[in-house]
Amino acid sequence: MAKRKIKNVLPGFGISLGFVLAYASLLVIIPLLMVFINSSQMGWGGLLATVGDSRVLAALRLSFLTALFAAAVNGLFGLLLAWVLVRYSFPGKQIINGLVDLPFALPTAVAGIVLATLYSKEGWIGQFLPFKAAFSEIGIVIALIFIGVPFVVRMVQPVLEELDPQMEEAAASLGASRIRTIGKVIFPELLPSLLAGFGLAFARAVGEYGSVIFIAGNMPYKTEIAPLLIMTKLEQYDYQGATAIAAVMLIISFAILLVINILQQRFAGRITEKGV
Amino acid sequence: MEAVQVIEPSSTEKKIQKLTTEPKWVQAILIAIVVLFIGLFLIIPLIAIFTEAFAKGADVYFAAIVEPDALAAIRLTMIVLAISLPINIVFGVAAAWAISKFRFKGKNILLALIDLPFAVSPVIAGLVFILLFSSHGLLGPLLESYDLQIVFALPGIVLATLFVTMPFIAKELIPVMQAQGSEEEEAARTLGASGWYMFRHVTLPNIKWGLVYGAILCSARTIGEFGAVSVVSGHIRGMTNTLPLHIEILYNEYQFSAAFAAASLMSLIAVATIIIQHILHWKKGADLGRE
Amino acid sequence: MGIAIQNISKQFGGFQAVNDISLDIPTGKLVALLGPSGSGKTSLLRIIAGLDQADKGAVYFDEQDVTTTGAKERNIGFVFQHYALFRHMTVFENIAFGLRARPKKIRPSKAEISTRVEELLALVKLEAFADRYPMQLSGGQRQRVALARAILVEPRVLLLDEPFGALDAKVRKELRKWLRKLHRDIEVTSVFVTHDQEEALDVADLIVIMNQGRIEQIGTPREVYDHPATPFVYEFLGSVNLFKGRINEGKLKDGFLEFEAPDHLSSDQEVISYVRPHHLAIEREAKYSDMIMVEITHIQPVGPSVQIEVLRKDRNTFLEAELSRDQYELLDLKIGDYVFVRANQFQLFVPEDYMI
Repeated sequence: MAKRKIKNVLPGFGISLGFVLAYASLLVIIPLLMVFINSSQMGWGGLLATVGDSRVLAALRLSFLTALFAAAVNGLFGLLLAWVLVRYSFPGKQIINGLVDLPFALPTAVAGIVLATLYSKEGWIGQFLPFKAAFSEIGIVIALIFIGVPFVVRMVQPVLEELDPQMEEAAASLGASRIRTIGKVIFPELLPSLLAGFGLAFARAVGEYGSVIFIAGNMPYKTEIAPLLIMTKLEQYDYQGATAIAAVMLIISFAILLVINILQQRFAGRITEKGV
Repeated sequence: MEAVQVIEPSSTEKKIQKLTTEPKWVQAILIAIVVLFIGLFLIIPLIAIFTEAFAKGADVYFAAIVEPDALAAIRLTMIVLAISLPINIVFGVAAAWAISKFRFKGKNILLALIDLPFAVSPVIAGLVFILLFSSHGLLGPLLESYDLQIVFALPGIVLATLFVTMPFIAKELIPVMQAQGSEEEEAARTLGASGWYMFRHVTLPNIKWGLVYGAILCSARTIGEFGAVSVVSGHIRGMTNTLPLHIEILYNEYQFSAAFAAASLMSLIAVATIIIQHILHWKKGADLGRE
Repeated sequence: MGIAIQNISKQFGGFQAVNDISLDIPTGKLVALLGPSGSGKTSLLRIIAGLDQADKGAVYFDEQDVTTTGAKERNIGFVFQHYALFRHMTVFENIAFGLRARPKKIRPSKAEISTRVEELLALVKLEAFADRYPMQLSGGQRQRVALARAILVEPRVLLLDEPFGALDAKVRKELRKWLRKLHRDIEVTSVFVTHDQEEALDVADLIVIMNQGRIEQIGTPREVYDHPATPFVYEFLGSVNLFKGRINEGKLKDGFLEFEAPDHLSSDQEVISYVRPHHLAIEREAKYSDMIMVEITHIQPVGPSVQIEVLRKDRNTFLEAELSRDQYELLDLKIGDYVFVRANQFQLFVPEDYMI
């Protein structure tokens, strides 16, 4: 029997996939591997020593904790925002909808300097606060909340929009209270996208640099975030140190994203390809 | 025949509450909370940028913008955009094409790969290229022998930017192309169209708005990128400073008004980006057949 | 141009969509691939088109082996279930696409293309819509554009995937008539896929009934309706009454009903008798010994015939009978009446392979 040629009706599979893989490998995979190759050269001992240094640990803990808190706040308010934007009407709704994208479109440095100015002791907001906002952990959290606003909102919004109102009507007609309907019928539908948005906001916040360094104060052991520490070590030509921290950050970020991904799959069906 | 009795509905004072919404007072509270949140975190900062920029008057504002280092920064930012955007478009279209029109194993891995830059801190994105191309780096000696400078120069900045912006256009196009399906392309093939003809006349017109939308998102991120470029650029004034880096320098030198002047420029671009995106959003919705 | 399909098989994932199918489609005929969803009919059509490739087997157009040729080179016309019109082109541009896409060397001139497109617009009666966009057309109009577009390139064979599936009943009927007329005018070999038996019986010269990736029966509409070859065909085309039992003394006996068994079936074998509703005769009195008593439970006039549901008193199960208007009025039946039925035509099948 003659050999069968596998022919796709639509052309360009080989080229497009090949190009994509080559590009992604060269641009992303290989450079990232450099981080791990370099760290492995230090050996486990060297790696642990570098990362175990108390300053490094402080920076890592600070980055992850503030990111977690900020992402949680964004989870809550993002959900509220999405709900209000999709379901209610009020004057100025479209403007607020547009503003949600601002942190995404605005350069982080711009966000950084304006937040630092606002929350300093003389700033518009800072002067009214009983606590120190700028140059403290609180300032860091504020900046991370700012940059994370779009993530949850934009993930939850489309799901809310596509939600079938008949489900809620069915629940209500069966006697469920509004709160029960929201809790048991609607919220489970939103959970996957909520988790996805939270995960993205978290990942973004952990690595955030530009919007944080102006407001943080950058004091070692207190308000020094991990990315800044990497930067500092680079300027001192301590490539090993920088790489070690980067490796740890990457591993933990990937792990957390993986967990969130798994949780998300658990609570959702697969997203299937739609044919027209 | 008996007259049928008509029962008049008695007018009710209370309107029946719709089954699928919350009582009005709950709505009001939620809206208020949300507006306060947005006001505090988004609106006030946006306004503050401009007030700070003009704090010393319009003259200082314009002087700051046309100052040579600022202009050089603007020019560099534009050059980076001009180089990286076409590359990102080609990558995005290729990725969306491969993923949405074909069946193959490992599609999920590819999607995760494309998402990877989102999960990486911009500083690390810059770091990896330092590890590769700086004089202490892996390829450092090789580059020196050819007298090539990648980091602390334009190529490094472009590479770091490409790393960070890789996902944008692909992530925009993939859902669009998936929703449109392959039938129009298959129809074109049955009618005898070659691959390129089909792509030019059937595929591209259909993804037009999604592509523009993605390109605008990508551009906004490109010109605003700070962390990665900061690591890789060497901060050489007038030469390797993009506009965001220039802003940082001004701020650290306490030239607040100048810093905010430049910042206001970037904010205008950001707001323009958002407005254009929202206009395009409706056009994109039309492409998916929602008219 | 005739199509020969030899031993085609196709799997999707673990699912066997097409299972060793061989089929000959004569030149110029309008053939229906009829079956329920999952029967493999669309998969087979796409394999004929070259849109999918079979795992095993061969496809011949006349004598030419096209098995490894792609859809682009096969010179077929394909009409998709959801039309697949190019949404950003006008009706005119959609139809003209096939000729415009030709490489410069063999492309007709603009004027020629224009003339041909206008001919086709006249044929599908859409001259006034040439500058409209698909979004602005009704389902039936879009379907006609899709057909015109496929025909313009003068394909060797026309393939249609559930062409009328997405339209409502009245439009479907009109388009069916229109397709028959078109086929008479153009005389190109055509294959269409449908799950609607009425459509297949109405339109096709030849019907191929498919089920679970296999062919159940091939025949003219008359043949497959009057002489179904398998229980599946019986049940898929129209309704059927079932009588079960074992063969005893050369007959299947179910209550008083008796069905003569053919010789090759042995005694004591389990069989099922299939009887169409219009082969169930109704009498006021038990004229024959093999009649059973039933009570009339429902009467439904449907067009020129009357469907009657009856309840057998001996087994307490329901049967369906169908009478012409005249027969019905002659008998003057009412709900609750007790009457007698027998089968005056039937077919016996051995149930081992056939699950109900």
